[in-house]
Amino acid sequence: MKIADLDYYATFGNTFLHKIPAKYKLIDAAIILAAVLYAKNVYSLAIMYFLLITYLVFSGLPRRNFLKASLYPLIFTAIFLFSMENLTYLTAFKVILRVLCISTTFIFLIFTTPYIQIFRALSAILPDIMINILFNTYRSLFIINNTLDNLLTTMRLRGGISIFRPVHSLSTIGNLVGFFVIKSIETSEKMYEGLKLRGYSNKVFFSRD
Amino acid sequence: MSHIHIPDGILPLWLWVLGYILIGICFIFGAFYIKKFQKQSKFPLISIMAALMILTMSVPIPFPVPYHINLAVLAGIILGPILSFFAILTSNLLLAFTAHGGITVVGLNTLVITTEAAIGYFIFNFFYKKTDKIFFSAFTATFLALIISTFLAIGIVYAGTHNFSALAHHHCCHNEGHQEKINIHNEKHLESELIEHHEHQDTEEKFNIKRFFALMFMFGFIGWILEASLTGFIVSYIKKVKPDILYKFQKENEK
Repeated sequence: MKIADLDYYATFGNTFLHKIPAKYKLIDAAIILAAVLYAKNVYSLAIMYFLLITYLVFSGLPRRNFLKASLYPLIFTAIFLFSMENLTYLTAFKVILRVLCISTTFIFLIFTTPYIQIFRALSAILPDIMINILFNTYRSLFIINNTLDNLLTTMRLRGGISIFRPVHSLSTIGNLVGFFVIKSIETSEKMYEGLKLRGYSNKVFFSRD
Repeated sequence: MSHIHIPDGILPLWLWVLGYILIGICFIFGAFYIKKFQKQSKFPLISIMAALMILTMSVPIPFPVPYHINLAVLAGIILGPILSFFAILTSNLLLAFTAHGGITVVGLNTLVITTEAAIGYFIFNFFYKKTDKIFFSAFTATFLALIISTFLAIGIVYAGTHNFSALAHHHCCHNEGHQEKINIHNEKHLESELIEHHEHQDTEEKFNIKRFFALMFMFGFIGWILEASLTGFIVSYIKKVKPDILYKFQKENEK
């Protein structure tokens, strides 16, 4: 799922979870993370996951997209579990529930909190450089996302890529991404000039609202 | 492919905390470098590279298994090994919030991918200056950097999971407890106890590094070739259209 889509739910959503300040949600996520990492019992993990899913059912968030995003880490968990010898169902469930509890918690956070609010809350603990880069990256994501979408549409309209012509397809994607990189670097230069004109002094300030 | 695609809750606390400590040290070093050499004007470029790394993951790759490129070596080539650290840390942090990679492994992931970017940068620099063949240099740099970083990722996962049984079952498989049990028994029961111990070891849950390596290699090898080819085509395109971006790799007489 694209970050732009997640940001849409976070910014335009109107559930009770959206109204909770970001710092409390971050603290809540940290507590759940610690509890999940500490929990050794499969039942306590199952209860935690059940509570999170119950939350989802009554939260009014788009369930399908939410579950799609929160179940994504299972692909990588499967690789790990396939690498285990003499794996018991209990351990497999424990690992899966642990992964699901943490991913669901963070998907809750990101579905209900715009990135800007998260950065503002994190600015209390992270250094200025990091906040600066995070903020600029977030901004850049939306600026260059349109360029990439247009390029991908153009590529499809002009024949696109095919698994039966791998070298040609890779060359096409390479040229596309190369063009995208050049465009993005030019955008970054313009962005910097624009920021400087507006008084940017290598520090990001957040308004209280 | 060199991401540690292990989600939260699998690697032990000491390992991921160590990852965060190490990136903390790298961060201090990087911040010092930015201040000393006045690289603040590079913040938008670092941010754009981080955004590029995130966005290009959505570019479809003609391959049956869902695969995404991460452009770490390209970030290394364009930004250099120190500044690419910040782009990689940022993209990892933003992705971790979307459950891609896990929040606890951000430190370890950043270390692995920064190593990949740095190795890619130095290999590209070496080959390009020696051979002047852009596609070959970028392909080789990416391919070798991916192999090294994948081994590093496998090593980290092994370090954290080779003792998985003890982590998963504190109460039933603890070695010290088992040893205590053996000591309590008298000599008469020692033999049967040892047999039981061996049987227990045979059925003990173990992380099989060979199997993990085989799985990583199976998916990874094709991924390495795909990413290396793509980086080769991207860098060749940049060289043709806007060679200024690669100015630091030009030979002295070309400058």
